[in-house]
Amino acid sequence: MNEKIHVKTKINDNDVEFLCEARQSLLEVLRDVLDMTGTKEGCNDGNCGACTVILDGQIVDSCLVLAVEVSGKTITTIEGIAGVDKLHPIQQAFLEQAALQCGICTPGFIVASKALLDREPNVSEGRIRHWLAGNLCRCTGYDKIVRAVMAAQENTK
Amino acid sequence: MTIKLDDKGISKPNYKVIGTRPIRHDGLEKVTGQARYSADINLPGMLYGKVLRSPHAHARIRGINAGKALALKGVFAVITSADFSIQSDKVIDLGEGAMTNPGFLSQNVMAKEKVLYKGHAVAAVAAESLHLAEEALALIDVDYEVMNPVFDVREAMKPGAPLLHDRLYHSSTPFMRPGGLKDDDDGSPGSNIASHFVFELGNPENAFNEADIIVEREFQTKPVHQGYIEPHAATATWNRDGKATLWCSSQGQFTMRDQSAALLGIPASNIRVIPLEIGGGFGGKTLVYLEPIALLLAKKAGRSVKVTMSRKEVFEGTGPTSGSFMRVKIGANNDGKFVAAEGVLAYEAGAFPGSPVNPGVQCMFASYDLKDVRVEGYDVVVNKQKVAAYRAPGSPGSCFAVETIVDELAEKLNIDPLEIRRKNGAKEGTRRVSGPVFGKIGYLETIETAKAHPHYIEPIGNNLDGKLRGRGVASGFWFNGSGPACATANVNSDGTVSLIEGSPDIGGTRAMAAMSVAEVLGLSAQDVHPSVGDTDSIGYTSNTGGSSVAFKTGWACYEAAQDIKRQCIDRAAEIWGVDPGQVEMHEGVLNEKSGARRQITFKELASVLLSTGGPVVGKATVDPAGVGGAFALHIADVEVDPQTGKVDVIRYTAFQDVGRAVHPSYVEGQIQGGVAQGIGWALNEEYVFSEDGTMLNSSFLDYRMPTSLDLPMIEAVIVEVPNPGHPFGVRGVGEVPIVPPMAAIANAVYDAIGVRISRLPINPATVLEAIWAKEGSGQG
Amino acid sequence: MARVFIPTMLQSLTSGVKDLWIDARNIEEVVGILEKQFPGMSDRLLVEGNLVSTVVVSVDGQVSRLGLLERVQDESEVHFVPNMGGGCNGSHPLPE
Repeated sequence: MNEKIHVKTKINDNDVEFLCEARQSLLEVLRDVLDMTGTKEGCNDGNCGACTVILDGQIVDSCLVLAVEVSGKTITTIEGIAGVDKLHPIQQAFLEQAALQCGICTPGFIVASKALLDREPNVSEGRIRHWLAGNLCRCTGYDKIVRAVMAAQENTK
Repeated sequence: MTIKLDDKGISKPNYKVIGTRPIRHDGLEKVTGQARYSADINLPGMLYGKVLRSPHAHARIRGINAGKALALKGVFAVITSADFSIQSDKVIDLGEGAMTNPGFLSQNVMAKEKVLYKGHAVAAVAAESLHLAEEALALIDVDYEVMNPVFDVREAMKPGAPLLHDRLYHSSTPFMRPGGLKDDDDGSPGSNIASHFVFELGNPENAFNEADIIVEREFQTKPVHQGYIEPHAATATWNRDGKATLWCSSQGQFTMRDQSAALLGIPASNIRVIPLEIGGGFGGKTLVYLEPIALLLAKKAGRSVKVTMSRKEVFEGTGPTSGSFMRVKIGANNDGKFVAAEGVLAYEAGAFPGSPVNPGVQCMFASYDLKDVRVEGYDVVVNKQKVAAYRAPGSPGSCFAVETIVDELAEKLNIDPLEIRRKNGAKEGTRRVSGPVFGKIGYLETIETAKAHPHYIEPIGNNLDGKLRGRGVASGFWFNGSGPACATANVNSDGTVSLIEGSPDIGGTRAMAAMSVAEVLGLSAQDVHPSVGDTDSIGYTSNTGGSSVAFKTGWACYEAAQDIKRQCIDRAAEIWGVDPGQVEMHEGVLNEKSGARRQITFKELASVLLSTGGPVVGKATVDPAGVGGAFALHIADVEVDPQTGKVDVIRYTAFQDVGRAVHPSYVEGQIQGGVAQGIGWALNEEYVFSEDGTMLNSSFLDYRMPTSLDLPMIEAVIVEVPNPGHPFGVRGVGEVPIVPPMAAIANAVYDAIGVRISRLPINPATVLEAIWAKEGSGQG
Repeated sequence: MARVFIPTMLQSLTSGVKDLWIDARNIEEVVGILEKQFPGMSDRLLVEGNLVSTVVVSVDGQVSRLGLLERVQDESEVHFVPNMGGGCNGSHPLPE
C-alpha cells in the first residue's frame, strides 16, 4: 500500500517529477507533496470545485483524479494562470469587480473561468452560470463573479 | 472633514476615500493562489491528525482502547477526553468578560462520559500521513452503551423524554445563561430545557381584545449549516518549555487562544495564535473544535501536527444553526395598525445549551412599533450537533414567522405590504420588547427606497409555460455588535503606513481598515498596507462577528490615524520651532496657520522622521458603544412550476440601511452573499436525519447550497442613514441580509400558488404537498 | 433621577413593579438600591460583584461597554438586557 510510485508530468509549463502512493489524489500531491497550496480542498468528493485544475485542456476536480493518472499529461493550476509580471485578465477582473470575499473558492473559479474563455470567447451570462455551476461560492451570491467573467471577456477582446 | 448638504438637505461629509472602491489589498494573493488558509501550512516533520467520531446519537462511553492504533507503525499519539484538563460544569467567566461553560465546551471538543450526537468527537490520532491516521482511527475500540436519543425540539421538552444531561441547570432569568449542571444533591427532576424566558411590554392579553383581526400560525425550521467552503483545520507546535504556536483560521485569534488555553488548563499567553486567511465563517468559526486537539496531539507526539476535517466531518461535527418550532400571533385594526403581538419560540441548541433563541425573540418584532407585546423562548438540548452562531443568529427563523404573518395581515386587510410595514415601522424612539428604545435607525427610509424602486413598481410579468409567478417582500432586523479592538499604524519613511489590526478578514475588512486610516491622513487607500496581527503582535481584539468589524476595528484604525496626525503636528511644530497649536493637518498636508505659513506634506515629513526625533507609530485601543442597528427590506420574484414544485428566484432586490458604506463593493457583496444563503435556507437547505440520528445528506451533493445556476443577479441597494455613534457613520452590514429572504420567498410563493407555507425549506415536495392540499386532489 | 426598568422575569421580585425612579450616579449604585428595595435582585444581576456576563446595561438606548461603571444622567433610562454577543465577547458558546 505504501509503495511509492514515480510520476512524470508537466505542471504550469514545468516538467515535474514526484513520488506518491497509489491512493493519493492529484489534489493531495499538489498540496502536500509539491506544496502548491493554491489549489484548495473544500469537499474532497467532487462537489465544490475549489480544487479545479485544467488537465490536458479539460477542467477537472483534482480531488477526483488519482495522482498516478497524470503521468505524461499537462496540468494548469492557479499558480500558472498569471504571467511573470502581469495578472491574467480574469484575475484582474476579479480584483476590479470585487468578485471575492473570503477567497477560498477563488482559485477554482478563476481556473474554471479561464478554461471557459479559452474555448468560448463570447459567452452569455447564462452560459457563464451554467459553466460555473460546479464551483460553489458561499460568500458572494455569484453576482460579482459572473460580472467579473463578463468583464474579463470584454478585456480580452 | 468638510460637511456639505445634499439635495435633500442631509449633511454629507466630503470624504475622499470612504465610499470609493479601491482594489482590496489582499486581493492579489487570493487571485494567484498565494494566500495561505488554515490547511495550507506544511511544517518540517509535521504529523497528520484525524478525529474519531461517534457512530451513535446518544450513548455512554464504557471504555476506549487505543492499543492497536498505537501499535501501528507511524502512529505517534492518541488522545481522548482523559488528556484534557478537568473542567467545571458550572458556568464561569472565561476572562475578557466572556461567559461560558468550559465543561460543555470541552465535552463538545471531545466527548467525556457520553456521546450526544452522531459525529461527536471521541478520540484523535497523530500519524505520519493522513491515510495512516485514518487507518489508525479504525483500530481504536470504543465500547458504547447505546441510549435512546431525542431529536425533535417539542419531543425533547416533554416529561419523560430521554435526557441528554442528568442534572441540567434550568435557567429562568431573561438573560439566558449558557447552562450548567446542578449540584449533585439537587433532587429536582431533570429536563432538556436549558433556559426559558419571557419579555413583555404593556398588556398584550387585553390589547388582543381590541384587535379587528388576528392572524396566528405555527412555523417550523430545520438546522442549516453555515456552509463555508473551507473545512476546519488547525496546526500546532508544542515546545518543551510549554509554549505553543497554533496556526488556524477562525473568526478570532484571541478567542481561539483563550478557549484552547482554558480547555488545556494553561495560561493563555503560553499559546501564540497565528491567524491564517479564513475561508468563510458566517459565525461557525467562533468555537474551538480542532484547535485544542492539535495542541494536545503536538504535545503528546513531540512533533508539529496538522489536524483537518473532511466535509462530512464539518457537517456532522460542527455547529449548524437551530431547528425551531414557533407560534406567532399578531392582532391589527382594520386600518392596518398593529395592536398586539405574541411569539413563543423553541429553538434546538443541539447537544449542549446555547441556541440563539434569545436574539430570536428580541429581533422578531423589532421592525415594528408595538406597545403591547409578549415573547417567550425555550433553549432545548437534543441529540444533534451543538449549534454555532450563523449570521444574525436566531433572527432569520423568527423573522420568517413574523414577516409571513405581516404579509397575511396586509393581504386580508387589503393594504400594500410595504405600506403596512411603513405604517407600523420602528423609528427613532420606538421601544423594543426588551425595553430599550431605538436611536437613529433607517428602517422607514429603507421601505421608502424600496417603494420607489423599479422592482416594486414594474409588474412581475406574465406566467410562462404553465409556471406561476409571484412577488413577496419581507423585512429583517439585526442588533449589530461592538467590542474591544486594537490597531497599530507605523509611518514608513516612504510616506506610506503599515497598519496592523486584530480582526480576521472574512470579506474585505482589511481594505476597510486601510481606507479608514487613509481618509484621516489624506492618503490613498493603496498607501496604507493593512495586515491582521497574531496574538503576540496586536492588542486584544474581539471576534470578527456581530457585524462589528467595520464599526469597532474601523474605529480603532480611525483613532490610530488620529494619533499619527497628532504626532505629525507635534513634529512639524518642533521642526518649525512653533507651538503645535499653530499647525494643522488637512488632506495630507501640514500647514503653519499664521506667520511664515510653512507647509510640509505628510510624505515629506515621513521621510525625515528618523532624523527629527524618531519614528511615528499611531496606536489605539477602543471598546466603543454607539452601535447602530441594521434593517433590511427585500423583494423577491419567484416562478413556481406546479408540475414539479420547483421554485426559481427570477428577480431579487435587497435594500439595506448601512449607515455609511466604507467600500460599497464589499457592502454590496455582503448583502448579495447573505441573500444567497437565505435563498438556500428558504428553498433547499436542511439537515436530513435518519431515525437513528444519522445525517443523510452530509456532502455538498446532497446538502444543496445554491450554485450560480440557481440564482439571478442580486441587486443590492445601499441606503445610508449615518449612525451618529460612529466617526464615519458606519453600521454593521454583514448579518441582516440573511434575515428577510425566507419570508420574502414564502410570501412570493403564496402570491404565485395561493398557499401559505410555514415550514422550511420550501422544496419541491413541500410545494407540491401545498398545491395538492389546496386542490384537495390528494395526488401522490 | 434615572428611570430604571425591571426585566419581565425579575418583576416577581418587585411584586409587579415594572419601572422606578432611582437617584444614583452609576449602575453599581442602581443595583445597590434595587437590592435594598427588592432583596434578591443583585443575585440575579451580579456574580462576585460584577455584572453577570450574560447581562448588559442599556442606558438611553445604547448598550454600555462599561457595565457597573457606566454613569447615569438625570432622566436617563436604564435597562438590563441580555448580552447579544455580537463582537462583544471574546469567547463563549452564545450567539455571535
